[in-house]
Amino acid sequence: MSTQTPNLNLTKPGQGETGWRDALNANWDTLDAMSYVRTCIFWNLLTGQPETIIQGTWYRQQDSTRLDCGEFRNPTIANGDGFICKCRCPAGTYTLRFNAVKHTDGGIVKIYIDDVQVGNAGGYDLYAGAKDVLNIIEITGLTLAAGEHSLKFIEDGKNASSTGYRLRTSGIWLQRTA
Amino acid sequence: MKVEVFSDKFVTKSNPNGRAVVDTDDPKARKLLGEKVIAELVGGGDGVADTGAAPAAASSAAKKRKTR
Repeated sequence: MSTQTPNLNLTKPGQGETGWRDALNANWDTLDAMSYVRTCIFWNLLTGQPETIIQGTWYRQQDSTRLDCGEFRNPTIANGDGFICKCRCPAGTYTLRFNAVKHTDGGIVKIYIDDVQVGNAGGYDLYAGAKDVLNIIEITGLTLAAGEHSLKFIEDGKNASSTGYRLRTSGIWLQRTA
Repeated sequence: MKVEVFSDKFVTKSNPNGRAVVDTDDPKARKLLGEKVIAELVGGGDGVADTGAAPAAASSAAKKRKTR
């Protein structure tokens, strides 16, 4: 029984060639354009780490009452606290989902992809009088070109009743839908 | 107590996410990060208490340090 390999126009390194890294880099654009790739991109901030810290001090805290038994959060609870995660992905339409615990010290988080705000223009208010660990925020219909993108989470304002500008998250999920 | 943090206090060109492992008993780290942050790193929990008063565990640790 024979199997067929799709022609991806990749340049296969010659026999004995050790420059696999160069070969891969040379074909990176082709890999980006592989439109059938639908594996979600997932940042687990309990074991992973953000690419850049914009402001504030962040750390992970184990807590059995949380969705993933822990969360990534900012004890500085200041306006402007934020971080950036980066990824490479094929061109397509994407849905972004992430958990953000609501609490009495939750701020308003705004989301930017490549410095362009996405989702609610007013951000997402994470204040609640009682803790809500099951709060999942979803942003659909994100059109991304092939290549590298930065995903920015930043605290920008707060509810008048909130005592701080806190963001608590553990998982960020980006899924190509079309 | 050693804790991994990601902080703008440690961001450099070669360390853009400000990753550092800090010792919460280290006076330099305490000064750099601030007592409010240190109290939460030590006390943990929900963190909410830190917006008002420090958690009991952190307050107790701070008192011990003062008496040294």
